[in-house]
Amino acid sequence: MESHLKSLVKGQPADYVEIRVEESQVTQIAFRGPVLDSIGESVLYGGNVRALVKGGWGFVSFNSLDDLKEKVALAVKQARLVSERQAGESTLAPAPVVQDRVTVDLGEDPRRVPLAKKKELLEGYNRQVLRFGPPIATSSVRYFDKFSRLRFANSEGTYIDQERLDLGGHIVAVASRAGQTQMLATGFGSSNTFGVARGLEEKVADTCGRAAALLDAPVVDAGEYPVILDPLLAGVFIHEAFGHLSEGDNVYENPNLQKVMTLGRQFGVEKLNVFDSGTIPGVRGYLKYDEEGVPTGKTYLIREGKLVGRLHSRETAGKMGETPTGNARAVDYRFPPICRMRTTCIETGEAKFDDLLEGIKLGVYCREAYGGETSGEMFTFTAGDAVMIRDGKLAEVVRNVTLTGNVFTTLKNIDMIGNDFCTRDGAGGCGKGRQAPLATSQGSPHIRISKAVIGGKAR
Amino acid sequence: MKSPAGKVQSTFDPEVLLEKASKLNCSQAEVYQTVAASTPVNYDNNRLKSMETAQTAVVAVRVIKDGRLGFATSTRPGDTEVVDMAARAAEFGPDADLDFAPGSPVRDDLEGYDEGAASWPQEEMLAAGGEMVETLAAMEDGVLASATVEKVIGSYRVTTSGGQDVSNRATGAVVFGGAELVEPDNMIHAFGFRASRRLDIDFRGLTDHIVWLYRNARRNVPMRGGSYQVIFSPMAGMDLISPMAACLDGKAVVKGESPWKDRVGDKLFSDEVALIDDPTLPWGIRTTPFDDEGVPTQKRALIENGVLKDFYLDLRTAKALGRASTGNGFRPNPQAMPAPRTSNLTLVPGAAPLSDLIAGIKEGLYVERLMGAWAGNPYAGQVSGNIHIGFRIENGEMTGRVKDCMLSVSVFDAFRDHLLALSREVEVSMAMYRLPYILLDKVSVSTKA
Repeated sequence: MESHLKSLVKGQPADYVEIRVEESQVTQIAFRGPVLDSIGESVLYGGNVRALVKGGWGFVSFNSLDDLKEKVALAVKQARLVSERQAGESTLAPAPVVQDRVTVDLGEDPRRVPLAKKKELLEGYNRQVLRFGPPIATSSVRYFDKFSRLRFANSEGTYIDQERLDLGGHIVAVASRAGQTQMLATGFGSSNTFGVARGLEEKVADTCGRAAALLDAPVVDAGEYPVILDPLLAGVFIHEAFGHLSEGDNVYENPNLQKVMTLGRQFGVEKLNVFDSGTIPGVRGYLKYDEEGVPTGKTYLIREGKLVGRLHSRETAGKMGETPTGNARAVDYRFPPICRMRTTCIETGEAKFDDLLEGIKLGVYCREAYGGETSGEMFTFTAGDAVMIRDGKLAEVVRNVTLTGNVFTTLKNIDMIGNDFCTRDGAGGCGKGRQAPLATSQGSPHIRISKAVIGGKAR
Repeated sequence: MKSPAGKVQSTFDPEVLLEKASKLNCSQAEVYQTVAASTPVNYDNNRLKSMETAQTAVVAVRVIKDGRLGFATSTRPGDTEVVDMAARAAEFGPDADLDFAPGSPVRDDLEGYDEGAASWPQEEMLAAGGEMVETLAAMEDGVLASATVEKVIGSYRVTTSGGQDVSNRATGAVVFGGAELVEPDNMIHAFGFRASRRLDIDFRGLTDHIVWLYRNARRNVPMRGGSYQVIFSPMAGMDLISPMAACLDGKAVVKGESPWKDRVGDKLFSDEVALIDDPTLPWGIRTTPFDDEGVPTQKRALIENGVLKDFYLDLRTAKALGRASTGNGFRPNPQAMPAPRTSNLTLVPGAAPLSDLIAGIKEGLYVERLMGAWAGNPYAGQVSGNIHIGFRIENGEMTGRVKDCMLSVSVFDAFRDHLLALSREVEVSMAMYRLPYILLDKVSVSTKA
């Protein structure tokens, strides 16, 4: 296969050609309520060719590896057609030529855990939720693992044969009473071990207890408050609100956004440091090479409050005269790589949790994320649950807490950063364009935002 | 390619797979396969960026072995190992609470494959996208326009050990257009989407809509928190209808999660509310003579005159309820198990044109799209989200864009007590629901203090 792929991309009438081949084995298990909803395995097998001619791209994806020569020719032909209609230049930033074989540094190998054992473990959590008793009415549990072998060859001589593991899941507790329903989840994920799926009983119990408590909680009063975000929600915030804006393909041909996202511009307090990393071992966002064969690293986006970097593919880096960062990623062989995050983090600070609470007369402590979305400078996300802060102390639980705002204002309003950094993984992933879910992770300590808009019940 | 993509033969032979299942002592088996070829052309940042070709062939096998259900899928050409995988999964699978579809005839007169769309020349796709991008980019300096024009040709086939063997083919044309402007601390992203089974896409109408959105969004106006009359576009309306669709889902009924599980025949909403699931709609984006389990489909009322009529079911949920499937067993993607899902779900429109709805509002909002509103708990019917693109209406006129506003609706209460009007215009939003513009009263809007 190696010599075949290498020979296919050589000597083509194009500025650049690459070919990817993927073989993945996927296992999925889902419970909904007391019943096993589905259990199954799938094989993902296929590949793609991407070609660049004078700034125009051609892309062909397929399941059958027959007639690869014709597929390469078609990709080159499409790229040529684009360049003929739209004259331009190919500007790929240089990347090292790599020959590598990558294996996963495995803890507990999910492929060696029999399906029956995986099911048994998850069934245990499911039973635990259901046995919690009223008002916990039902449950949902989901698990997947995907083990991939990815081969990559490009016309510059890079050949990478890498294994990748992605696994994750969540356990959801649904509380219900008199037509009211509330739910909370606990998630897990890893790029190197099945072990993260074990020993979650305490977290499951905590999730059940908090879901039950939400039923009695009042809806938060809408308005502007000082808020504290827990590490999970702070991670989702930085991913959704700032990570996406830092993606090179949003910036590279957008002169106005380049003005907004000028390197050196002050975005937050000096204590604020934000980075995106492919090298944190074990998290779902771990990645040795991206889908262009570029080695990943730790990329600072904000350092001491100033913008210092962004997330590049070779093309966006080339156009902007910057260095590729290994952020060109694709969900699978059906898609071309685009600029995506890996593990996006707010770096740890110095404040203790009590310091964050101090001086807040009336505020909201928001925990866990139910979901988030962003567009341009606007973001919105929903907290799993939340607790009112009154006179510097945690008070009653409230529900239906959705935060929204302008990312630039909100970043400026981050006034304290906790010292309790941690990374978090879950069952989901990031979506962009048609590509979802992509394995990404987030990390952050607790952070405090001096004011943020919270939607809920109008006062 | 050597042959038109629509004629690409699957490399999976269902007879061989069914026979293998039988040899592995499976009492029943089902083979679902789909072959699709899509060719999008992409314009980005005012210029043609790429042309793509994607060919996919997937086989999904379900088996019943020793009374348990097993499931597996593969994209490896000619794979027969997929049957072994399904049989293996069945060892630990859920109780097989269903029988795969028995042999039964399906309609062959539904319109969903268009020769014109199948042979849509790439040159015309390029020209259509190019024209959109040119018009959008010309609105103002600094606008970055994008467009994707895509042709899809596919076929699908369901074969069961019970004697069902049905196949169908489909065409699709999908168009997306967008216009983006970035100013310091103010970004506009106006976009729209159209999909059809044939070449009847109104490119001009889509472009005009995006231009209309952009022009209205060009000026920001303040808005005070409070309770307002709000018009929801078909795109924003999706967030209102999704909780209803979730409560009508047979699975939620079987699991006891749907608050409507015991309420068939009850009046839930005001008289104007009618939700119809119509898989027979000529050229409907989800029109199909049979579902992904091989069961014949049928047009059905789910809510009529505000009264809950019925739920939508697949084979499993139907069996659990002691009924027949309604032909709503669809796979969200070929790799997933079938589950209850609507086909062309339509909220029956009203009589008034959108312009009348706008003109009748003294102080209120038009909302094109919400952000994050899908994140709520559907069974509670509580929808709250950020107003992504929304305009203030004063004395019947759009006066500008509102920003940093949250909106919150209790959908079930609103469609009972606060539904003021449904427009006569209907649009398909994101290939899901067919909705009119919806005017609700007393929608809670919160904003910065």
